[in-house]
Amino acid sequence: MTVNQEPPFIQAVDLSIGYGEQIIQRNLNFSIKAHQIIVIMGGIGSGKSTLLQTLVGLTPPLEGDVFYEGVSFWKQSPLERDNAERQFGMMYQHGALWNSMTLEENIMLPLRELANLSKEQARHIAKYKLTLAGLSGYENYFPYEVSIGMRKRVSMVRAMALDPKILFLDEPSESMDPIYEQWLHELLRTLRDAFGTTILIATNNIPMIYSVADYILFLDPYTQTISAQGDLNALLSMDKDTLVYQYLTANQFFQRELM
Amino acid sequence: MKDMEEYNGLDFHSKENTLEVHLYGHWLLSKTQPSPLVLLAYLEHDTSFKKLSFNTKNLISWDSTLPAFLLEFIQLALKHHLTIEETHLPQGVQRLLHLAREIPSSAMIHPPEVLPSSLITSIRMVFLNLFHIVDEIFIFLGDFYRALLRFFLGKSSYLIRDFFSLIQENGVFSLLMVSVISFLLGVIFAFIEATQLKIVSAQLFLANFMAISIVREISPLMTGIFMAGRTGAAYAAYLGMMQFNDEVDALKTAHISPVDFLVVPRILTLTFIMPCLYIYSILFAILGSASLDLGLLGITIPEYLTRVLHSIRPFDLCLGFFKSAIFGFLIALWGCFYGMRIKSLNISLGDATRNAVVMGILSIITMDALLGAIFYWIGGGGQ
Repeated sequence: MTVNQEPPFIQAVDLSIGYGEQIIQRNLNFSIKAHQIIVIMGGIGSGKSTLLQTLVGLTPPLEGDVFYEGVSFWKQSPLERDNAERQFGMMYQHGALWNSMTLEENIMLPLRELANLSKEQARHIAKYKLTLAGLSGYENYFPYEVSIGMRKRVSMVRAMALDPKILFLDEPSESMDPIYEQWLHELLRTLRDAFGTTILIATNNIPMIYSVADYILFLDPYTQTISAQGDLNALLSMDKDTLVYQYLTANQFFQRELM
Repeated sequence: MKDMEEYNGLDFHSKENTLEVHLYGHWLLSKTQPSPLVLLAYLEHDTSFKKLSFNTKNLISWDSTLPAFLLEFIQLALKHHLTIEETHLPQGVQRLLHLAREIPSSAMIHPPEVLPSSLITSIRMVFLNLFHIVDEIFIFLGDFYRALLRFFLGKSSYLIRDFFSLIQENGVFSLLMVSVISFLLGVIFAFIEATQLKIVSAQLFLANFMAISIVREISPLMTGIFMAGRTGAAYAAYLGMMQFNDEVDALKTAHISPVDFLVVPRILTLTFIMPCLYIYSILFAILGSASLDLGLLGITIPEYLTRVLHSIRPFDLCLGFFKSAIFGFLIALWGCFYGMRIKSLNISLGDATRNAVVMGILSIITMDALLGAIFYWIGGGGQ
């Protein structure tokens, strides 16, 4: 038997998240391996997005800390944290595209500013990323000229622009059509396998969880902490009365009803 | 080999009718990448190739730059009728290329057809946009007047508390700024007029000049410009955000007219607030002017006030009052128009806010000039 001495890729220790006096989740403890797709699921208001924001450096934790490869994230200096954040890519729930820039410029900006690419090179990469978003030909459109689903696709490829080590996706399948969604699952698996990207997804989308999740964290809105974590099979072998089991099998129940 | 570790790039090798592309080094975002157009330069020299293949023995590392490069590179090769052999590319690259090319057609979104750009089409578009804005203005005015009629007939839906909160936000909370601006403008204009009147030794008339200027122009115009920036912009931004959040559509589907519910209360309250702010502004502007005049003239406060009251005619006061109400109406109208029409005009929130302020200020100054001319013509400008 060998003992793995390496620290976990991402680790949360006694993490409590929320805003001001309001605690949304408390005593969160989890360890995540690199090159995996992790799904954070839970009820409405259970703090999925807040957890992503704490992991990515936008919302400080109320208690506890997050460690990336054994290094404290929230206890380091702002400059060190800023450097650590350069390894992240984040897709926001509502797209968060910059309205004053075209779709192409939205993708080009991080490439120009952080990777110091020439305009031509950045345009080249942006074009490729827009092809991945299924939006070839929309380079010169502004975000307010396209639909929310299209904005979310662009937001996703913008998050992937710098090939980040860790990709955070907040409700990526929301407002997306089922065909693109299927294709998106394949893209996420390819990113994990080809680049070794670690992907954290906040979603309750059951097909996506079944299709891509290597590891699942379930944020319980009632107990306000992680009530279950593990791979899909482990969670499906849990007691049928547990909330996580009901979440994961809700679609099957619905399908049986239809039949 | 050392070179390959430091640099990245590609070499062309020909084997009979196959063009073999050797990719080497680190194909990373941090490195400068060659252009896919290098293929064209090579194919210009030799057109005998039938097949394109890759050799990646010396490829050390790669990221998105490689599939981005290859996607365009292979497209160029296909245009030259070459068959492509991709099996020697890394597995990950093959999967990414496959994903980019094989995105299901139903998941692809094609942009709508756009008219080819030329001078004539550009001019045509400018006029079409102009007509579109004019059209929207008339539709908005029509909607507003119908809503106003419903309001006075007691048939419209609105919240009474909206009127009070709008009066508080746009009236009461503006008082401090209006007092500061009016007082300082009183001081500034008094100083300018005093300097001019001193030349002709007519300082005694300073109080009279100031009173007329303040009541007829300074107070209504400056309060109007201030409120266009403060309230006109706020109306456009607030209603624009409601449009973006589909709150306006939610009102429509609930069978509540958004014009009744949102526009009428805003326009009516500002039309009511502005004359009140005008009177308030006069008091502070005269106070500002007095603070300078009293020192210069050496007269007592009651004497000064007598001069001021003697100069202000009820007609001037009514004119200022009337102008302020119209200014309030125009500012609120433009603010609501740009907020409510943000989607149909296809503009951003920033544009809507800016346009509301610009059009608000432009329209009140134009209206001021027009009313000035009309009242002068009908005799109000004389003694």
